[in-house]
Amino acid sequence: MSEDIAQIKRLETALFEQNPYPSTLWTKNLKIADCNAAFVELTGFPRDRLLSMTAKDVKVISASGEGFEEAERFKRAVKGECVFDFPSGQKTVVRNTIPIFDESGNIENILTIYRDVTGERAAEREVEARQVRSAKAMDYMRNEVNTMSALYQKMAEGDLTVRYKITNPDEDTKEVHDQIVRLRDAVRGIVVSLETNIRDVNGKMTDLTSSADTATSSIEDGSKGVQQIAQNATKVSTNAEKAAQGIDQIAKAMQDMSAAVEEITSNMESVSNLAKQANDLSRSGATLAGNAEKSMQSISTSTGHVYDIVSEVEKQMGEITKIVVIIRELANQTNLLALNAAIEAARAGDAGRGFAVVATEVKSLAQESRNSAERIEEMISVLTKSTQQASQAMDEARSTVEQGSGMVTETLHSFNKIADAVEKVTASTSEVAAATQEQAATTEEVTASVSEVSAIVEQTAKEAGDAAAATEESSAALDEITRMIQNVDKIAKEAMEANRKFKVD
Amino acid sequence: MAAGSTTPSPSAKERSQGERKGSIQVVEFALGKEYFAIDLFDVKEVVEYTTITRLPNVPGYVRGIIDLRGEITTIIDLKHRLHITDASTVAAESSRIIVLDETVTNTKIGILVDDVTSVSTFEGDQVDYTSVSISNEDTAIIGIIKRKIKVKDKEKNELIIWIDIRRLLADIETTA
Repeated sequence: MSEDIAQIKRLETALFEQNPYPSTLWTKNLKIADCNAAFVELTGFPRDRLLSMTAKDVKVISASGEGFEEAERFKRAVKGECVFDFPSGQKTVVRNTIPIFDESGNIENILTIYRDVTGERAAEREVEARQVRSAKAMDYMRNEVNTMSALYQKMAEGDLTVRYKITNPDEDTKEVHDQIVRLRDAVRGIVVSLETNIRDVNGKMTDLTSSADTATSSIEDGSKGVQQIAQNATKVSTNAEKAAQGIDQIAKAMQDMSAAVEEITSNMESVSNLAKQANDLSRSGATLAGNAEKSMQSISTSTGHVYDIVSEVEKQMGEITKIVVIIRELANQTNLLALNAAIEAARAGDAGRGFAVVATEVKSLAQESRNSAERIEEMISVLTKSTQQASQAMDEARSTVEQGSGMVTETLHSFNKIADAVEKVTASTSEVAAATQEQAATTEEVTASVSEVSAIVEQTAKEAGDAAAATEESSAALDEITRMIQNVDKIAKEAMEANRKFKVD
Repeated sequence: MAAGSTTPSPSAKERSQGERKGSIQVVEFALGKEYFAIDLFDVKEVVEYTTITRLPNVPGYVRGIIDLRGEITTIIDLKHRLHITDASTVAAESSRIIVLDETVTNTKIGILVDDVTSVSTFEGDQVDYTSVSISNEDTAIIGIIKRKIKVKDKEKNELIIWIDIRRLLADIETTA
């Protein structure tokens, strides 16, 4: 018997304890009866702690498939998957739950065997996430490439001004975005060079066509010129003959000119005399103006005196006014005294009768004084008005004198200028006289030159004939050049037309 | 001063009526545009305007008081008293004060007028008493004096209102 037990013990150790799958033996009340080393390692709980735990002490995050409940109900081994929160961390495990029955077929114990699939599940999730990310990147790339190709289509049609704005990337599409940016920048570089080239070519073509136009018109002018030359050469021959005749006439004219020069010389002497007289006159004018200026100054001084006198009169009248006020005041007082005297006299009855007469007289005198004072006041006010007018007139006179004074100064100035001008005239006259003498000498030289010209004219007539022949040849060559330039112009315009298809900034 | 009102002193009117046939002597003065006259014997003197010290809580026509050579003299605004509302403004400085005789009132009184023109004597027939029928206790008019004046060679009567200053001031006596 003990032999059997020992054997079972060994078996148990081999099957259970040393089993690499984490295994637990539960009582039917779901208390941990025993567990193997692999389970201890899986959970991270100490073994003695585990042996005091029930199923409720284990924290289950999620569960699927079948577990304890189904094993009890169906009385068979069941399988499920669970996520536990163990001290060793979150673990995903596949759980086999095996009920163990006693002899009468009731559940005695439950054996659970776990398989740790945490790593596998994590790997699966990683794969899924990667697929999602790459699908997103794919979509992003597809959209951007579509937009880009549409824009490049436009560019191909000629509008190089369009710009490609790339949608902002997120974390997943950043790499693709960077690639697209590189692509876009490369294409952009090409377009920019293309734009620059087109712009340069257009510019140069425009220059070329305008140069060609200029050339054409120049040649036309040239051509006309050459024809003209041919005609002219003929005319030159004819004219040369006429020139020879003209030259004879010139020689005669030169003699006439000599006579004229002599006359000018004598006229110049008269001018010189007149200028001297003008000079004298302007000097005496200046002296007179100087006298006028002095007179003006004394007028100004007199005016100042008058002004002072008027001011003095005004002041005196002010004094008179003050005195008049005093007189009136005195008259007033006298009047009052006379009144009181009259009252006193009347009250005195017959005794005061004589006095009353005196009082009345005094009163009438006072009244007269008052009237006189009033008249003086009136006169003063009239006088004041007059002096004010005088004062004003003085002011006006003074400003008039000032103006006159200014004018005289100007006149004086003018006379001085005239004197200067006359001196210049005199100087000029001398120069003219000198120039006239020179002219006389020159006239003789001209006469000599005329003979030389006569010989040259003959030579010219001969050379003109040669020139006419040469110009006809030139004319033919110019026509050929014109045709060539027209061709160049046409080609340049065609090239520009080809470029016009491209729209550039 | 109840005694003053019960036994009035002989008024100017009574006296002047006594002298009806004789001549009268008056002091003429101006109030606004009108000429007035009061009995000469009611007048002591005429003085120039001087600064009047106002008194509180007195009737409107009491202008105030002045110091006349050491004596306090009450100044009555006669225009106010006679209800003359003439707007013509005479400068206070050019107005005059008629100081009344001591027999008129018990206190020393002066009346403020625009100007004092003259002391005149009129004959009795120059005074018209009949028109004074409009007169009553309040007006205190004794009569109207007609004075002949010449305006541009035309004779014309200038009217002077002769008032009884004693009666006018009787009530002041009672209130004073």
